[in-house]
Amino acid sequence: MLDELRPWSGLLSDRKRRPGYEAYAADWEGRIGAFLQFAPERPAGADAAPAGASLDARGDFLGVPFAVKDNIAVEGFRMTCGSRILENFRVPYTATCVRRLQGRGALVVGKTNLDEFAMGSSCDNSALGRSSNPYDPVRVTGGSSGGSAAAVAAGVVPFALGTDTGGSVRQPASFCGVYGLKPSYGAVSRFGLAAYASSLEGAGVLARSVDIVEAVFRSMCGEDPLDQTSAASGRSLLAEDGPPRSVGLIKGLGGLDAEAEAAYRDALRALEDSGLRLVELDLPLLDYVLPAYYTIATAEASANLARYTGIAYGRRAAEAENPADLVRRSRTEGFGDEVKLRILLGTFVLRSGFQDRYYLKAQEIRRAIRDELAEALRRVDLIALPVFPTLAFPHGDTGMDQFQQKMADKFTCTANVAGLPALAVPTGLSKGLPTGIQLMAAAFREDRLFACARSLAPLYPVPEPPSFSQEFLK
Amino acid sequence: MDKRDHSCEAKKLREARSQSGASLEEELSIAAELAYLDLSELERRAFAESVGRMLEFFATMDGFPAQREVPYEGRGEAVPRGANRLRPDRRVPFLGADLIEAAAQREEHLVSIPNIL
Repeated sequence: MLDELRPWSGLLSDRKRRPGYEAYAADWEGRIGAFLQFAPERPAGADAAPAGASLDARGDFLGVPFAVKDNIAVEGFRMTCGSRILENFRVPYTATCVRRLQGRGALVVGKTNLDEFAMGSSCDNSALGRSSNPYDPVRVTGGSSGGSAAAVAAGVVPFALGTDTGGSVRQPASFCGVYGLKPSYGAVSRFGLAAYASSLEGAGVLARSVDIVEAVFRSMCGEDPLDQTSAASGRSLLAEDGPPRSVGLIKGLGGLDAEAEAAYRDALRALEDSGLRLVELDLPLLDYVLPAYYTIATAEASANLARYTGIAYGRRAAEAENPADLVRRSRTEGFGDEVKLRILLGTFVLRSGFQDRYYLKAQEIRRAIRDELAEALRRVDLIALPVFPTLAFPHGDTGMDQFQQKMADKFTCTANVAGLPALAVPTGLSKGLPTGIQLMAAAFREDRLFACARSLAPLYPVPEPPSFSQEFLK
Repeated sequence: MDKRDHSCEAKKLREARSQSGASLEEELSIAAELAYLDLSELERRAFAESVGRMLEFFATMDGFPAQREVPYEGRGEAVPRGANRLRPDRRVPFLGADLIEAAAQREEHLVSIPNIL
C-alpha cells in the first residue's frame, strides 16, 4: 500500500476517526455539492473481494474509501447519470473497473455528480444537483466528472473515478487542481459505464498525487471478457523504457485567455528546466478534430441513448396512448435540454442523405488524425497541451454558454479521437484558481505520462483549497 | 482554418439547405420523430438555432482534403462501390396489435410490464 493511502485505510470502520471524517465531508458537501449519494456508514465493496484472494492481492487499497462518478455502475447504489430518466434506477451489478479496486480492498463511499449523461464541461447540466468549485463556490467544477474532481480536491476522498469522452476527467481535474488521467482506449474495461459515445469514452482516475493515479490505473487496467474492446493483458501497459526525453508543442495553438496562456508557458519552461527537449510540431489536421469529435460523439449518443424508453427501467411517463407514445413521453420528460440537443444532432448527422457529409467524413478525419499523431509521437515521447482555454469559469450566464464550452474542448478531445492516454497535471494557482497542463503519449504509454508528471511534482506542489484539512486521518 | 473559411463553408451549407427546400426546423422535426422526442414550438425554434450553429461548425469538415479511395478491384460485389452501408431512415415499429393481444398482462390496449428494478 502506498504510504499516502495508509492513513485512509480502515477510516470508515474506525469509531474514533469516522465522526470527524463525516463532519468534515458534510461541511464540504454543504458548500460544493460533490456527491449525489454519500454513504460512509454502508460503503460498497466490503463483501466484493473475490473469495480466496490473498491479503497481499487485496491489500493495495484495503479499507481505503473512494468515490465513483454516477455514470459508473456500483451495486448497492443508484446510477442516475445525473438524469431524471434514471433518477431512481438501482443498478444490479458493478463495473469491472470498480470491482477490480474493490477486489483489492477499496470501498465505494459515494457517487459523484456529473453533467447529465456526461454531456458538458461544467457539471451545471446535472438534473439532480449543482456542484461548485472548492476554490471558489461561485465557479464551476468543470465537467463532466465535476463531482469527482471537487471531492478529491477538498480531501473528502483520496481518489475518485470519472469518465472521459472529450476531456471530462482532465478538465475538471485542472479546474480543481488535481491530477486527472484519461487512459488509452481499451486499457480499462468499459463494462458498467453508461454508454454515451462508446468509441471515445473510458474510465479515468482523479487524485491529489501521481502515485495514487498510477496505482489505481494499474489496478483497473487489463483485458475483460465483458468488454471486447478491452486490451489484451499482454500489451505493453506496464512497459517502461526510462524517462521521456522530448516533448512536442503544437504549432499555432491559440485561443487561451491571459491566465491560461501564462500558466501554459510557465509549465513549458518547467518541462524544459526538468531536462526535456522541446520540439515544435506542425499538425495541420488538428484544425478538424473538434467538428469530427462532435459529429462522432453525437451520432453515437443518439444510438446509445435510444435504450432509454421508460419500458424496462428508468422513468416511465404516467400516461400514454400507445407504446410509441409511452416511449416518446418518457424520453421527452426524462432528458434535459443538452441531452436532447445531442440526440437530435446525432440523429441528424446519421440521416440518409447527410451521412456521407457528416458522419463518414468525420470518420475519415479521425483516421487521418490518428495517423498524424502516431507519426508525431514517433518523433517525440510526449505532447504538451493546455487543458482548457480558461481557468474555472462562473456558474450560469456569466460564464460560458454551451456552444462556447463545446468549442473549448479543442485541447482535450484530440486524445479521445485518437484513443491516446493523457494526463492533466496541476501547476499551481493563478489569482486563487488552479491551473494545469495536459500531457499526451502514444497509445499504452501511460508510463511516460507518470514519469513526466513526477519530474514536475517538486516544482508544482498540489494546491489546497481554503479550509482544506486532513486532521481527521490522525 | 481561418474565420473567413469557416463563414464561407457556413454560407455553402445555408445555400444547400435552401436548395433542398426544407427548413432546418422541418428537418429537425423529422430527426425528433426518429429519436422519439416531442418538441414544443418554442423548443423546436431553440433547438433549430443550436443545431444550426453546430451544423455550420461541422461544415468546416468540408475543407478536409479528400482521402485516397480504397481500391475496389478484385473485391467483387460484396461491397458495391459507392454503396451507402448505413441503413436508411426509418422508425422501427413497436409491437403490432397481434402481439399486444397475445401479451400475458394487458391494460386496455397496452402491454403491462412490471418495473423489474
